Amino acid sequence: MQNPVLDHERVEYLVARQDSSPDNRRLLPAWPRPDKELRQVDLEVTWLRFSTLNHRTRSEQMRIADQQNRPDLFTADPNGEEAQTQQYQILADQEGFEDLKADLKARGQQQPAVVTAEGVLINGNRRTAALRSLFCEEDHQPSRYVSCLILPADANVREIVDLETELQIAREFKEDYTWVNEALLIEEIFEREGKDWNKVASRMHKDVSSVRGQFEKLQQVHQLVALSKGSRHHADFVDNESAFTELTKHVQGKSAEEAASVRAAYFLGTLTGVKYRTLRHLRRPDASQRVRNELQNDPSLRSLLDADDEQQVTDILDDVLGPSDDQQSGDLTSILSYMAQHGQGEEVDLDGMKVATRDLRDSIKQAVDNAAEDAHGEDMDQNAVAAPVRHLDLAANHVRKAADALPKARVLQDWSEEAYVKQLSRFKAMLGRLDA
Amino acid sequence: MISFELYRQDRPTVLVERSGETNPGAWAMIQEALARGAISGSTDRTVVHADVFLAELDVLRALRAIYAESLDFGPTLRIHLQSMAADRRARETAVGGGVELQDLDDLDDELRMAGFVRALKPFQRENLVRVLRLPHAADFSVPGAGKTTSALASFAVLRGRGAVDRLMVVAPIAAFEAWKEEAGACFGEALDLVIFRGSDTFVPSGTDVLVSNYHRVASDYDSIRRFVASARTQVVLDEAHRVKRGPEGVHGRAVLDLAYAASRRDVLTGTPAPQGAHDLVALVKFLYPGQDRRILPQSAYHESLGRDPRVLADTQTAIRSYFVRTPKSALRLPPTTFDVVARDMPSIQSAIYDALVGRYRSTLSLSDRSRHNMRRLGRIMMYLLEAATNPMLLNSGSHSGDDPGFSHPPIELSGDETVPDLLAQYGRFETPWKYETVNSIVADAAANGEKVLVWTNFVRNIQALSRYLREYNPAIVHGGVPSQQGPSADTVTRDMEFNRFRQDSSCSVLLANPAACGEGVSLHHWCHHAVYLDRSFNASHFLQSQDRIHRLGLAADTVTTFTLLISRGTIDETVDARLIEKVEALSTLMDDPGLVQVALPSADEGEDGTPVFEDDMTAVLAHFDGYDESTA
Repeated sequence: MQNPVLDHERVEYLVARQDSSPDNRRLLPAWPRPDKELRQVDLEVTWLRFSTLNHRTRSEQMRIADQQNRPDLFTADPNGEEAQTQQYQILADQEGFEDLKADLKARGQQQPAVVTAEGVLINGNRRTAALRSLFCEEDHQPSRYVSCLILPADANVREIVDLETELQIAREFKEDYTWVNEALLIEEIFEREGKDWNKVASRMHKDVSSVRGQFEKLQQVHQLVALSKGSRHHADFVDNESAFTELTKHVQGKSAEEAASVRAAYFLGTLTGVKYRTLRHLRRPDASQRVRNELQNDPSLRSLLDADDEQQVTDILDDVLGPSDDQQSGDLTSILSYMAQHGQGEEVDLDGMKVATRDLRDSIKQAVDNAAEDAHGEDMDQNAVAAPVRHLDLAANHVRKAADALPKARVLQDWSEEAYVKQLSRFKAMLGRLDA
Repeated sequence: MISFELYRQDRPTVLVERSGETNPGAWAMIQEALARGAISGSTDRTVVHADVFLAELDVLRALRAIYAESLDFGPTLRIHLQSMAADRRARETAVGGGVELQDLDDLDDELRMAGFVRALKPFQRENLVRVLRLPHAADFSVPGAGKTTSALASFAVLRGRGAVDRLMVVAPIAAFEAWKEEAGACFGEALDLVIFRGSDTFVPSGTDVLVSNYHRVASDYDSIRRFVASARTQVVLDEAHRVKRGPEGVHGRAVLDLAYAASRRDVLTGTPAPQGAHDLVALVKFLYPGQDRRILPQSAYHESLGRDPRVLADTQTAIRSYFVRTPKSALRLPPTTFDVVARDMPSIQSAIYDALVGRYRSTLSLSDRSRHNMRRLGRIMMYLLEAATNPMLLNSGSHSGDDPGFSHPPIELSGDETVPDLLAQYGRFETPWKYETVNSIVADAAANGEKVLVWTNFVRNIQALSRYLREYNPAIVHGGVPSQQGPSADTVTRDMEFNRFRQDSSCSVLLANPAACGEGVSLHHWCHHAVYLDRSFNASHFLQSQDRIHRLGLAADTVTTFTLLISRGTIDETVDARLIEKVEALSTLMDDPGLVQVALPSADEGEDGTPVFEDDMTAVLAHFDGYDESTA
């Protein structure tokens, strides 16, 4: 039976290619069907098509589609020239691309790629991009052909995603995935598998808590992207996994208020470009309150804080939860809400003054920076207060260990009583300094 | 728009669905908050556990404010939210307020009208007034204070007011008889009470009270839920500390799910928090599903902080309006005395203990908190408890009648250390000092025509002692002794053994483990002296076992004696310190300072789970760390 969605010219070409090639077969253990032996054929590097469904580049695609305001850039005609050129560019821009090229140039292709019946790469996209770059841009002739395993023409999307997932978890491919792209894959499997964490975990060969953790961090990225109104994209957060991990870890088991407070401060800081190292100092219950105080000091921002007071509606939620006291708790909801409603490059009216949203963001960034630095300063003072006792505590533990170890050490041959006495008197002399 | 609806069939769940133009940030915010409770769904819908959803209502409020997203609550969810809102208002108004004479008179009238004939004691009447002011309430009175009677009285009043139609009781099997008796005796016209023993139990439509156990609620959840949901039902959890593991435990999950179908919820237990403040979380979750985080302080959710003084004080303040407690002091029981016998172990036993500690200390990585290591530590703790009492037990491993938490293989003897030699010699040269002490206590008692109750956690101790004390004709109760008559007529049941201890004058001693008869048994008319051969970290076992012989009905001049046998420098001391800490924590939480006096030895009385819970591990580790072989 013909698969109606396939490009039949390409399929027929590939059939012909197989007929004219030696009948090489190779085992692909990750292929879900019982018959795991696939035909291996050499195909021209320029004929192959990159997969645009590949999760490894999902967040980069989202960014380009958004920047060009072309939501269907990669989906309207995935094998068309435009989508393929963009996809090639994404692959070529990925970290480690030059190393990969150098390796392929030196050692050649080690593992066959995997392609669909119409020659779309399921596995080996980056390597093919590297080979293409070698062949087309550096005229490296050995890179002209790519050795590929060919999937049957009736392979469906589910089987292909399963295959990709299986290959993804294999160690040698793992590093090719950014955490955002891996999380996007987890999200897709989660939704496809009826939101059953156990199934996702077994697919990803990880435990439930770690796949759920990735999913939760991705949901934070989704929120930041939505709040940024087009100025931030998923791929922009690739380098900041630790910030999300830290935030998630910190809010776990914290009260709803503290969790909301720290999150809001992190979100606001992240959106306005505050450095993550700086944001760390705001992992504290009063994070939002501190940011709020800073904002209050800036006359141009003050009005933002209470922007939506009249929107407050009392309804069943308020009835269940009791009235919210956002003024006291340092709520940043109104300012986040403001950001969610207004995109970049707009002008807004603040107390009769026209202000560019970009300037506004800079002012907010300044406020978050200030709040974080203040908090940091206080932490340092706190540390300074506690330092003597803490160090003494550590020292006491070490002294106890030394006493425990002494009898055993004394009977050993290499024992030097002289060195011991010397250290001990040094120690006693220092103790004297503490008494004062 | 994002819409929500509650489904109460089977296990309560909430369906969350997006439609039309939903802000992706708003949707992501919900997905993040609910991820831990997701059961099923697809791209645009998620089905979550109702308790997770209700715990995250703040997030809904925030996302509506941030994204201006419209939220739609379905009719069933709306009704539930309304009842939560009503609970919140009722909780806030019920807080505080004294009990006036008029309240008590009104209560008497209502009880009379409802056909409740049993006369309540003054403290019961006062508690009842407070319980009835709350939308859902907890009775943390000590055993013997008449919690069963009070609960039935509250049912009578609530039914009289038209608030509920019937009663569902979840209780341990040992308490079934008490419910049956009380339901017959408290009402002029006896209630129709049915014991639910499984899905084939016929429940007539006129049933007033359905009684089942915790295990059944989990295994026959659907039948029980049907009973609770098909009319306005008051659900009472008796010995409610059994659900303290909350959603993570099978029983806890089922019982918490049942809460959504109930019109009124009550919990009864004298030891609501044997491990500390954290234990109260599951109870409050049952009483006020989705509202627990508004009632309890955040710190109560950290198991490791369960006995931190600040946490205890905060939690006490938070919950004091939601429960009543009749302390032991209100029962005007005659006093208890504690006799703490702490001795050094004789030389061979001491050497065995040293060798064990040395052996395990060198192989344990004290910082490793993995489950495997913890389990191992739990086993090691058993060996140490055995070694501190009777090292002979080390060779035998656990007995099938042991509490499951106490099961462990016999100690592995690899032969290259002295332990096996020591053990081989032990039986020939020494008798455990605790055995000798028990023997002399029992001999004295028998000579005076008195009886002694001996508690130990190990069935093999019970068996060894039963041989050692055979001239006193010991009665024996542990997990391996069946509670019901089996197919063969000559089976010895627990009740037969209890009765032999009570009636047979030649039977001077009962050997028992707290896991098998800690709850529901009365022995106070026959015995006034209990000896603890060994104890575990389980504070509820310790407290409940005391109540077997120290309860309502004792003559004023009776002195009840508890003898604690402690081998000096061993894990016995660690256990002792932990139990003191736990009982003190409970007394702080319950604002019942008398508990410490009644249930713990005072400072001058001494001569100077796995029942092991995670934070007890720290104590065991500390025992290793601080163990000094020269003093043991």
